[in-house]
Amino acid sequence: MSNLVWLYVALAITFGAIGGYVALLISRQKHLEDRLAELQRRMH
Amino acid sequence: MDNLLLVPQDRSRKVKLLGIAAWSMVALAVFLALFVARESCDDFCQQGFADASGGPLQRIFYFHVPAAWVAYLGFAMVFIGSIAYLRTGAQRWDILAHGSAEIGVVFSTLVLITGPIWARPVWGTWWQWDARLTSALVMWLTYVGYLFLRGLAKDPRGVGRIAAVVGIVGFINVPIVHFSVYWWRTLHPNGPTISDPTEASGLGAQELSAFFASLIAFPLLFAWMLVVRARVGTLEAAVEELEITQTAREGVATHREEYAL
Repeated sequence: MSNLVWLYVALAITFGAIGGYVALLISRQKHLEDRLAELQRRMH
Repeated sequence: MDNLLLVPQDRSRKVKLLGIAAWSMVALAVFLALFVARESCDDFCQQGFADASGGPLQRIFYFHVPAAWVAYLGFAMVFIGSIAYLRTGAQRWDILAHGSAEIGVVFSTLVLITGPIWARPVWGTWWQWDARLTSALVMWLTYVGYLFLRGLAKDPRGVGRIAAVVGIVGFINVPIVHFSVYWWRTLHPNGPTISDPTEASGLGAQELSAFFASLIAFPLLFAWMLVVRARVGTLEAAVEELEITQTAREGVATHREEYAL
């Protein structure tokens, strides 16, 4: 592969990994917020 | 539950603004690195990193170096959070340390991937067991181990103190990684320093603008990710607490029913 292609591979990995991690965090946060709301509802 | 009050709500205006600022700076840094910074070493450099250009691959430098600095920042936060947790026992410090380690590992993984991609055509090899690369790999393994320790623990709260000790001891390697290029002869370039970026790297104004845009963008991104991660950690603690309370209540109710029978 040419150096230019490798550059774009490196960029895709960098921002793909950061974006993927952030997406996982936000998805986990949403799940936890729903679970917390459910537990609080049950407690009352 | 107290912890929920100590971490900014991610939906708050300030956190949203931080996220927007971080991603806008990232977009600007990518633009400057790809379209403004010059590619050919002959255009601007005299010595240092840019000597071994690698053509367009040299642009990896604008993401590789800030990612490494943000990984250091993350591990420094683990160190600070761990000390504070051992001193105070406050769970928010443990959440801070855990989140920082996770984000630090994300960025140091990227450093270990982008570095060899650049090295392959320039050095003729993906990897060299020199001081910088080896110490960086040891640093990565240390914090991956830290996350495994936390992930495999049966009692997530009980592991906090052991993890804090690992977080403090593991940080010893971080300055070694940074200064390894000065202490030992290595293949790895020194790169620009904040105090004297032009002299050390031979970078011109266009290249420095791209570099400093990345140096602002990545820590902003780190700060935003850490706020979101801290919120997740706080929610995990709150859910766990409520689940324990609920299980205890159900246990008492079952016991009463059995007693009544």
